[in-house]
Amino acid sequence: MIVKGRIVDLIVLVLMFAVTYALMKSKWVPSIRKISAFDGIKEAIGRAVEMGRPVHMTPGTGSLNAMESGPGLIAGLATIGYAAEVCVSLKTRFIISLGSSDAIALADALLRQAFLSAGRPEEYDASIIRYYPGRDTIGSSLAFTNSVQGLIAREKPVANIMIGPFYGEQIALCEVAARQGAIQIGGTQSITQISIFAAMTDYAVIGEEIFAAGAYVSKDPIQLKMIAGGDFAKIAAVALIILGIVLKMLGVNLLPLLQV
Amino acid sequence: MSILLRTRVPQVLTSLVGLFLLVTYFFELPRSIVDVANFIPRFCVVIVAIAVGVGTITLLNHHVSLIRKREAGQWIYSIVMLVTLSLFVVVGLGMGATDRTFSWIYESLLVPCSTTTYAMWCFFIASACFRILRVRSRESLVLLVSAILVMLSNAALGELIWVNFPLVGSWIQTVPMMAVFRGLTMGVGLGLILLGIRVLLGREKGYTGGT
Repeated sequence: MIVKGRIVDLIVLVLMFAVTYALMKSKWVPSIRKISAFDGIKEAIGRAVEMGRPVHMTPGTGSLNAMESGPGLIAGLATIGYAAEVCVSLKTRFIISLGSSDAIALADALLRQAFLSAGRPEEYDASIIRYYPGRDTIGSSLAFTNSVQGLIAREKPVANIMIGPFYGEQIALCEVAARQGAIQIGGTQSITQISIFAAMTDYAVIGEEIFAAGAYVSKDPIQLKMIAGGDFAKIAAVALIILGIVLKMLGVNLLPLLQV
Repeated sequence: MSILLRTRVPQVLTSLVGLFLLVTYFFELPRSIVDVANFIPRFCVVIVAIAVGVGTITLLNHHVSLIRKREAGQWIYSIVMLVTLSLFVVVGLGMGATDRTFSWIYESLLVPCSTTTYAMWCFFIASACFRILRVRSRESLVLLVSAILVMLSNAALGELIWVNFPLVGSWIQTVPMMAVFRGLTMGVGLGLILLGIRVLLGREKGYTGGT
């Protein structure tokens, strides 16, 4: 028996699962449009190689267990994993600032994998990861922000990659990095914080692009098909909105039907 | 540790737990199964507590290494950090988190420091605003004009200059801004669902080091 009030949610989820699964099984391989921010990662790291200065990356602050920050943190870690692989392959120094204690183990695994893939596992150094207590530990990102500001001012990175959950602290971080002349790439899933990244960074990851990081950088056909599935869902959502507007104008109220 | 243990096992575990929680969210199930589903988030709290321990060790390693190397301009602050951390732990464990001494340390050390540094951010925000509002393209001109109008609509001075400034500011926030917000909300929502599906199907490998 389905819980009352969740029937439509379940239908939508099952439909999305079905469309995504059908696309996964199909032979069609969709192409993904250019996302400048992810292409900008290579450019920024290349500049760091030329200038001999480090790259700074952070997946923000929050917790993997929190609904509002967990998915963003996963997406941020995926991007950082890719950026770390590029840095390791180009033998560039990089630093990862973490504001989430539960992301340390994941970041550690990502880095070990990056060094292993480059054939130099012995070069892995745990001090690449700098942990500064954030929201999940002390309920405020102030300590994290101040520490990362200090780190950026001291290390003078050429590139500053910030993708993950941010709650306003990115203003201070972007400003310090801008004073060091760093190329900045930023993105967050938080609707209210995206505008700050859009205004302050050289490359901003807008909206749901943040969740396409894994697919974009890996170019894995299955993941690309799943992204295409999301686009179909978007088209369906827009069609439903238009249908809802038309029906509302005709005096038909769909709302009670959606709440069953 | 083999790649199987490091990447595949966490992915399979995530998929299984995720599917189980989804089923318990959508379907009416026996009390015993619902109890297990309710227990999982509590189990997460335990994992987070362990993660905080890992975090503390990482933090200690970093600061001890700075002190050992006598890192210029940093090692003194690392000592301050280690002393404060030890003081908190000793007082917290010895007297309890509800003790007045513990609250006093928090309210007299951490709160003033936090407030002071937070207040200093205003200078960063001011220079960041200057950087953001420089007109470099047509889009940044739109941003500058909108920002000025919204600022004037919120400041008392704006209404003195022109009585309709609050109306203009309110229109910007409720019509064009809301339209963009709703579009973004829809996109992010669908993106989240798809990320969830990818995680459940074990196709999202990035976070476990499988890009």
